[in-house]
Amino acid sequence: MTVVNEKENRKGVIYGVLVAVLGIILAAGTEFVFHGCGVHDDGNYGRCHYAQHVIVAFGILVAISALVSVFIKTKEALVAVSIITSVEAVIAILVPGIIVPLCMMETMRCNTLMRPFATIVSAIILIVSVGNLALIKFRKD
Amino acid sequence: MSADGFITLKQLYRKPVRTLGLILLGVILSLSIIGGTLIISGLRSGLDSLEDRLGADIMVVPVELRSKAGFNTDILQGNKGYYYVERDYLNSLYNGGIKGIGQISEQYYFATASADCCTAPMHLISYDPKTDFTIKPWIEVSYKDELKDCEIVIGYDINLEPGDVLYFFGVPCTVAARMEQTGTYLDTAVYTTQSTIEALIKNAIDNNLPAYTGTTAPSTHVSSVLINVADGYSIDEVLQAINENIDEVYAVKSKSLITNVAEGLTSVSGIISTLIIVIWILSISVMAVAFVMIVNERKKEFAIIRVTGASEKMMQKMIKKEAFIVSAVGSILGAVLGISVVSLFSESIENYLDLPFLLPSPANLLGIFILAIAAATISGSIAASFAVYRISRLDPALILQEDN
Repeated sequence: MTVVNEKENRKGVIYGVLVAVLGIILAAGTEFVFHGCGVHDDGNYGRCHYAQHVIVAFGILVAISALVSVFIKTKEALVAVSIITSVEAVIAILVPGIIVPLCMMETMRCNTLMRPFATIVSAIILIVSVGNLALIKFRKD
Repeated sequence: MSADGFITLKQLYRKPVRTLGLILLGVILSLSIIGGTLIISGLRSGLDSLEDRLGADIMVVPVELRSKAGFNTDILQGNKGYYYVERDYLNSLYNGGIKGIGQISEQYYFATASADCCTAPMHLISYDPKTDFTIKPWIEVSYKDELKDCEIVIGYDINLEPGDVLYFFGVPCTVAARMEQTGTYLDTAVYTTQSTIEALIKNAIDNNLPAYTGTTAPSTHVSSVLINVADGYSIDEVLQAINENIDEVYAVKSKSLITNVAEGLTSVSGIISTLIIVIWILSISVMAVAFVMIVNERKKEFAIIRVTGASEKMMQKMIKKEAFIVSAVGSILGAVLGISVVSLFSESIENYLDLPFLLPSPANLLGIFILAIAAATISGSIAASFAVYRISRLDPALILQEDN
């Protein structure tokens, strides 16, 4: 186990807080602002409703995983957290429309707002996580 | 790596906040160029696509529609409010009462909130395959056969494949084909024959759906009649004859409908172009000031490099390289972000602007991507030219003396 120095630890805290905030934005944004379609005429929810729940769950997971890195002091654990948040971000990108299907009409809000929002925020989480991974990997010990 | 290249990279790495700030300016510049250009070209493509698909010289609609606000856009976007006119009033169009009619075909619009896929109502457009000359040419691109009963052709924005079944009021309708993207209302419509619509309405009424009780049917009513003028007659002449002789309908020249959309496009394009220019000027100004400040801050460093034997040209090259690297990185990031955001939110942009919107083809997209990167990178380099000029005026001896 390689214990990181104070400067590297500060970088880990910045990364953890940044990704946690992005995870909260993903979860809260999908739940309250860029949510999926409403209730159908027959009182049932569309398929996108379940996609929305999954995205919110992944947003919370990303936030929790990232916050863990704030308390981590070893390089190996920081690498593991970065890999976990990267994988979570990839899954969050794939959830709307691929893993969980959305409504059939492209003009509906799940396709026009929820999917683009989730894709963009998850892509940013992925870039930040992979960037952090690269920084840790290529850092001179 | 050359000495000036090494020093440039070291400088960028040593001051990460400053480097990120400059990159961010490049991102904003490139994002505004590519985002604005994509929106403007998307609106132009949408307008062209709409113009291509109008297909008839004259559209005849129920007269009630004329008093509606946003009449032209409503007709073009298919929000016809589901007004109908009885067929009996249109006899003179078919029996030669009105001269100059070359081709004529009618359409019937019907909205359903009961499709099993969507919370939004689906627009069903029925046409007569025997007389139609506006929809069939576009359907034939994807589907060569004649539509049978309970078969539908869906617009591009409906995510179904040929062979899939969509239920309307419990009636299973098989998807025969999916049309190509047009960027217009046609992308969300469902096309079918008049007999299929009759069957759907009958089923809705049989199932006692209150909203559909008393609904008209294509056998007795029409939503619009499309006319191509015969050779030897002018469009205005036929238009005037229809409006003078049939009080229940309003005839409008299809081309004039486009004018309103074109005006909307011109004003949106004007606003976007102005924004691009303002952001461009601001970004270049901030970048220019930033580079001049960098030179001022590092003038002692430049003076030392100069007295150790570096030429004035080499120092100018260092600043130029710095400007090029940050502008290029920022431009690429901004261009990728711009394309991603506009592509992902293209449907929202279309809904928000209420104008037809069609993203450019992949080849054109690549062209715009390269041009935006080039424009933003060149702009960044131009912004650094003031700093380059300032370096050439530095006197190393004087600077080093000042310090002592």
